[in-house]
Amino acid sequence: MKIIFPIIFIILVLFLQIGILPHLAILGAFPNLILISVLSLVILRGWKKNLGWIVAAGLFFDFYSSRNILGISILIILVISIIVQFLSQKFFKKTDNLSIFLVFLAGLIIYEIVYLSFPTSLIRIIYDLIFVLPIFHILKFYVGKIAQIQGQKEIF
Amino acid sequence: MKKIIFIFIILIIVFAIINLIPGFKKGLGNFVFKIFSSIGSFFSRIGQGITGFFQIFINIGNLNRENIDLRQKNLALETEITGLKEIERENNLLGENIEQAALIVGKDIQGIQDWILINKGAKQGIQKNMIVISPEGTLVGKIFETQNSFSKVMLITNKDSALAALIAENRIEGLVKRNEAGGLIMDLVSKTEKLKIGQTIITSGMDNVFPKGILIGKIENIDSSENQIFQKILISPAVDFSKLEEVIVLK
Repeated sequence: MKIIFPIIFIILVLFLQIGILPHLAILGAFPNLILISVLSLVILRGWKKNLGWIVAAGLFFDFYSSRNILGISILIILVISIIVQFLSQKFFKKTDNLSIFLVFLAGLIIYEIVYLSFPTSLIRIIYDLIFVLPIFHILKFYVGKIAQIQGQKEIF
Repeated sequence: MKKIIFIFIILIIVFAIINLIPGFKKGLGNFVFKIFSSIGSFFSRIGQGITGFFQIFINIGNLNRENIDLRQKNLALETEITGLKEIERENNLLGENIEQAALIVGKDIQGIQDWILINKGAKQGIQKNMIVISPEGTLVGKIFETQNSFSKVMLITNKDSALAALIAENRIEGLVKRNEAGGLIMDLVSKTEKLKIGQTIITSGMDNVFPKGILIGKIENIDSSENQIFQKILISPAVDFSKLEEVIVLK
């Protein structure tokens, strides 16, 4: 469970991100499942425990982008992760879907400010938000199971 | 808070060193692309198969209308042959260039889709600013980054791309670039110029980057509103970047 789930999840996310979603692009915009997954983990377990995922996702974005500076995406995701965790702990303590939705909305808006290519950014945020809750709940289920196995108290 | 600042400082120093060490970034990029290019190509092929399969069902209802459209397009294409002969003549000039075929092994994964990764790099003699065309001879973009075995191609739909172009039928010159909506436009064309939808746009060679006579696309829409100095011409690119699998690099 501890190893199999992440492997299946990563393969599924990469497959959707590379294979399927580009064909469903609207005005060149399609969701960023990798970013949503990382932010979900940050809300569930905090950014410190997910530093490895943040670095991996950031490196992946840097290599697969037209930006010429390595590491810039890692710093951007790290800043957003810290803000998202802060918002989820200070302002949206409730674990209802609306709170999670608002936290993601804030995180995604900050992320898109970096790219700011209206109307593509706006479409991408709306598109991202469709996938936010399913991905968050899948990961919440996994994090909960791992916490049970390890005998830890669940965050949510 | 101190811990966060400390982590950031450490990361910035590490990344600065990584970016400054000559060849390190390229080597690391080459390693990452070697691992992920085959996975990416595999996923992309499966995805194309799945979406293509569903596209058939979606299109069944439109077949009759599509048939009529195709007949009209066929007529239009016949009339365009004359214009295209000139482009063919211009393209023959490219014969002097050495061509290097390459496969597309990666694309932007964050939804911007303005560059592609090809499986030929510095080892195969690929260099920055080399011109990339489709197997049919239409303009795709130019090389903007090379690794040992891979190169990144900036598509003409990239926000940083701008190229000198002309309308083949009446030799009107302009600048082809991306618009805010992610489409391709031809700008800097005077409002006094008479244009028609469907006219062919080719490279003019005036930018000293792209050779003259490579097909870019056709005029899809003309916006000559009074509140702007120049006409804005929406271009339908001759190449479908989402379906492109192979390209040719002109050395």
